[in-house]
Amino acid sequence: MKPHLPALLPILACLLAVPVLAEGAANPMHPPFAVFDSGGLPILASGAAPSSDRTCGACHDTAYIDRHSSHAQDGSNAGCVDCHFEGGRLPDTAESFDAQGLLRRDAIRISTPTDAHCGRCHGVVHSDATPLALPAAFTETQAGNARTFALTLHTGEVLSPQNLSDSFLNLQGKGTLSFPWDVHSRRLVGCTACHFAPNNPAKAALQHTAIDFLVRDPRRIATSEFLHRPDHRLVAAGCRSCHDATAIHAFLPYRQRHLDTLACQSCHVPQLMGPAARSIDATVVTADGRARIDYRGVEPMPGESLNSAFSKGYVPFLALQRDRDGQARLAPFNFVTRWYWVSAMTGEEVAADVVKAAWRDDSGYRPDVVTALDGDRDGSLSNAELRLDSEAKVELIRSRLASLGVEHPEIRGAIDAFPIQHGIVAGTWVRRDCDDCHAENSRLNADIRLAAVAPFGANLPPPTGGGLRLEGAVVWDASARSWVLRRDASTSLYVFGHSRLAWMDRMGWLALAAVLVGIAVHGGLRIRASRRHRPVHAPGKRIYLYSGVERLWHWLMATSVLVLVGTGFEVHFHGHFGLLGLPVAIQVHNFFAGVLLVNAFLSLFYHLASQAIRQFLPRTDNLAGELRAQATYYLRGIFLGQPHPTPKSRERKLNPLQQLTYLALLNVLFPFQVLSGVLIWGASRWPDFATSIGGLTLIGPLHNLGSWLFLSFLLLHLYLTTTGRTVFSNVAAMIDGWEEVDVVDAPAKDGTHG
Amino acid sequence: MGIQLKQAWIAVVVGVGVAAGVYVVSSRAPALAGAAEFDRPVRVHLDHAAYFAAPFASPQAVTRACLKCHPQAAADMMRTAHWQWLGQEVSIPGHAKPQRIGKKNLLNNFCLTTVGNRASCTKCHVGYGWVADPYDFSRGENVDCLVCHERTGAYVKGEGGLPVNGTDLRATARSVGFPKRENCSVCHSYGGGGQGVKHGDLDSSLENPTRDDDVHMGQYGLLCIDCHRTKRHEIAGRAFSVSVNSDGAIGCRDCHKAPPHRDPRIERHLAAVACQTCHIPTYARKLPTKTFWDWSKGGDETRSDDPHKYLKIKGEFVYDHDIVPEYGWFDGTVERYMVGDPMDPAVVTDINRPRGSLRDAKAQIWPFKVHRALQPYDRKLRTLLPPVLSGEGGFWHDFDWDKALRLGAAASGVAFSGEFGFAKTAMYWPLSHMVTPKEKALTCNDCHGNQTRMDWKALGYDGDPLVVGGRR
Repeated sequence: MKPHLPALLPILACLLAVPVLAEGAANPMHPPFAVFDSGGLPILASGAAPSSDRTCGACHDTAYIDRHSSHAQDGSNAGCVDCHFEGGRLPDTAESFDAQGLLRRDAIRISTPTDAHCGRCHGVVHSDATPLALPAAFTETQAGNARTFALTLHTGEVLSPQNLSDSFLNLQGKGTLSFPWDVHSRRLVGCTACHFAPNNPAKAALQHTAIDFLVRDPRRIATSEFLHRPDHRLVAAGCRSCHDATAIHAFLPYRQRHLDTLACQSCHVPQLMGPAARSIDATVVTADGRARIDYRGVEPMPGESLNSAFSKGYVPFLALQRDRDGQARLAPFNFVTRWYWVSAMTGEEVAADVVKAAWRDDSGYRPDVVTALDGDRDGSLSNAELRLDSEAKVELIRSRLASLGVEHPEIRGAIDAFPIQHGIVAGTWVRRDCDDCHAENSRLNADIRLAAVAPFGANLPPPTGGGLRLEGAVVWDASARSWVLRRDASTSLYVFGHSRLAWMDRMGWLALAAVLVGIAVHGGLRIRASRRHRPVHAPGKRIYLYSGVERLWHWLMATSVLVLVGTGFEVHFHGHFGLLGLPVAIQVHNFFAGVLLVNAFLSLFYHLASQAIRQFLPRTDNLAGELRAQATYYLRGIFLGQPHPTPKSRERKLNPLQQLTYLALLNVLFPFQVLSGVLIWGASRWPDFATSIGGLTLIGPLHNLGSWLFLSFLLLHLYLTTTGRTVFSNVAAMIDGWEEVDVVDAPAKDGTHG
Repeated sequence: MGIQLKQAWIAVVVGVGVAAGVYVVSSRAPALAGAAEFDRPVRVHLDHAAYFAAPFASPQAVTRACLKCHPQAAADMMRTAHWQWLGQEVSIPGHAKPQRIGKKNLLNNFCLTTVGNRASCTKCHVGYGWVADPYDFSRGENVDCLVCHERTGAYVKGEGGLPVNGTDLRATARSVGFPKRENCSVCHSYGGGGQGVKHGDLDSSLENPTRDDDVHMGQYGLLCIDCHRTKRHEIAGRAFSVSVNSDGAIGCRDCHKAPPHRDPRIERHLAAVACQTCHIPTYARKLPTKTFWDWSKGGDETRSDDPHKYLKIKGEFVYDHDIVPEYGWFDGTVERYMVGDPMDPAVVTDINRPRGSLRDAKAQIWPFKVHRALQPYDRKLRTLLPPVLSGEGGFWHDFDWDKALRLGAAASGVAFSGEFGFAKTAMYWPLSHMVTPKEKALTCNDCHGNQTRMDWKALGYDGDPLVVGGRR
């Protein structure tokens, strides 16, 4: 394999973005500086705490940074030093300073924020060789209020280059999980490779929004300007900033379609093994004084550590999300149910320590709380008892909160949607199962398991967050023993094997049934009538009726249509029956569609060139009369053993009803089906065109309608072949070309159908 | 018209059929190109039990019996380094004349030399009776067929390479077959006086290894001789503790012609990194190997013996296991300290320093076990000294360095001033065994990034080549 250099360039660029300065090394470039306290005095003199504003602000425009910082606005109050200095704090010992009061070179440990810096607040970040374990602080986090570990808690994402199999955690199938927690960590693509200052001139090429020819725009700001006023509203560069999805997914069938409808993470985050919350119940307080958190895929026993608890992980939920390029794509989410107290007057969430005070005093749970909730009367509250599942219990805590000064406390619920962006896998570990989506019951409509316990009287509004469109009803699922979000069928995407128009299928089945009933009645009557009236046949002679070419194109057409209907059925009802599997069924379907099309064009040429096309053109002189005669024959004459009204000869092989039917079939249904099929096939190649005429949501069902009609025709066609001289004489004629027809000089006596 | 159309249709149908066939065949996933060139030989095993009815009076009698049917075997064997303990004539860097080197005349930093110590060293000689020089290397009946071919596991060689007393020679002879891992292991895993003393990547854990111990032997059941192919008893492969070049060496690429790295970024590494570097992340994974040997502490009555820490006869040791290798450039040749060469006690004397550097396009970064030692040298003449250890007057006998070194110097034919000390030396063992399964191979962040196992400055780079770029 030759390295595809142009495709690699962005990746290399990304790798080069890794901070050149090793963590823990002194920064050789940053000028020496003095450290000041908030009063502007050197801390060595004043002994006060260092101030970022005064120290860094001596050169950098900290006021500008404060106004343009995603971290200043979210209440986390992170200062310069927290993210830019090793260990998050400035040295304050005398030996770190030189005689002039400036920091010594080896003490200037400034760098672009490392993953460890980000990990201090955002989630579990681990990069050394020790087996990865969740820090004790993880479970001690007061979820809902504090922000620490939010990334891991909300999604299960863990950022580490280590293989899952090498970690300390007790994971299901651990030995087989020989891939890293996050492939970007493995490849040394740190947090700041994607989350960087938008006005960083060094990153201009990586910004997806930048217009190509502006990348080297000399008017972009100089490095010195950037260092003076770095915009700290950090970018979240998406996958496509570095990766060219189209180039590397050449193997993917319907590539453009998939890339347009699926976020990269949908396949590249097949499963998350970190502890992601399923529900956070902040209306109650656990024995160790925190909100109660239930996790997805891991249920620690009381007192058990998350590190040793058996963890199965979870498969993220796919939901349609409006992407940054405006395209609605299926992306993976975790949904976290959250119950919490609010003051109905102010609408603000009640602080965790107030809730805690309502439940507990210094020695433990308050006696009246224990009395009210202790179901088994053992004097303590077990995990199962820790729930506000009756009006009385809710009322008790409500009154406690009211007495603590909360005005009109009440319980609210919310389903928060957290998009999954990290924990990416690559190569063989990427999810490649078509049935994940292309099946009736797939990840597209899978129930989303919510909280197992709901406080009395609280209800859940639909999920919010992450640019999400998701509708459904929250219902109690007894088998899952939890509340689930039962999703509405998604109508905005037409996914083969998954999406179906129920009424269209119902109509299709009805049409099919009607044809079958008609055949049964007609056939039954024929059998009964044949006992009374022996069919009368004019004296016949065997003639060579169908040439080899005609028979070949007929049977090619027949085979193709049969295979197309069969494989089409498999695709349409995927998951109900599987013969070839979805990818093969589609390939076979497309292949025979091609056969059918080539066959149709060649036969059209043949019929035009040999003038055989006349066979299909009804005679116009007495069309109505002939049609009436033919219809009358089918409805009456056939039962009375009367001869066929239309003579069959080399010059005229089809009766007028057949001519009309075939004209309609070949000029309306066939082109319609070919066109809709080509559009479906082309939806991935010319998405704009498909979208302009309604997208797959329209084209898919139309093609489906056509196939029901084709199938109905096929059955009728098969039945009518039995109306020849004998039951199989027409079929035999189409095989060897010879048929016994009425002698020509006895006109208007015979006709054949096929 | 009809005929032409018919032919057109036939052509179309045939075309469709061929297209369908091509489509089906091409849509199949291509087979993984692994060890493309490896074909596992089918080895016949003839049960030799029936041939040996009577007991044997001596081990030589066994050899004579072997030679009745395999008349060429001894002559072939006697041409090899396994018998002669000398290789072909080679030119050694820094030495004018080409010469033959091998265990017979070299010095190392384990038991130092075989000269003057033959009786105990020749336990691993593939012959009988080499207790002292001169030794008659032309007697075919002294070739030891059994040590490589017997399968009782009870055949143990003692002094001079003769089987220890009480060996049932008939039972041993009846068990013979092609060499298995155990046969190679008895010498190559236990060289230097015990398991794991010399090689860090060969020990008894490879006799019945798991997949994680060694993927070739553990998962695919390969034997030593599957890679170390043998022709007329000449076994392919090179050990750089006794060889200075790669003539007759074997390597990963003999079978893995096109390594199946799907990622072009890995492919780019192959110019500068040996396969072993990533695929042997640590060595001595299960059983410990000796990393340091201090001869100067030997002879101390007061200390108690512990084969992994201290022996009165050998001095002090450090053993370690699951060791991260040391990395260095290696072009397949080594320098060699020869007996009598000058050395500088102020610096570490490299006995077999691998050659190659960042600027040498032929060199790759290899993983090494480095064995360091303190061993006797002549303070005045500044040469390393080969002592006599075993036997009368040897250090193990009298614990008198002066006497041992005088005897050793005489045996090796070097001058000894009478003043000796102990100097730091190092030996380099490039690693090729204990290859891990692919999922445990090193990955990006093992070498690149902050604080990794690679000392890029020491390798000659300005810094992490991920940042500063590779060699040009």
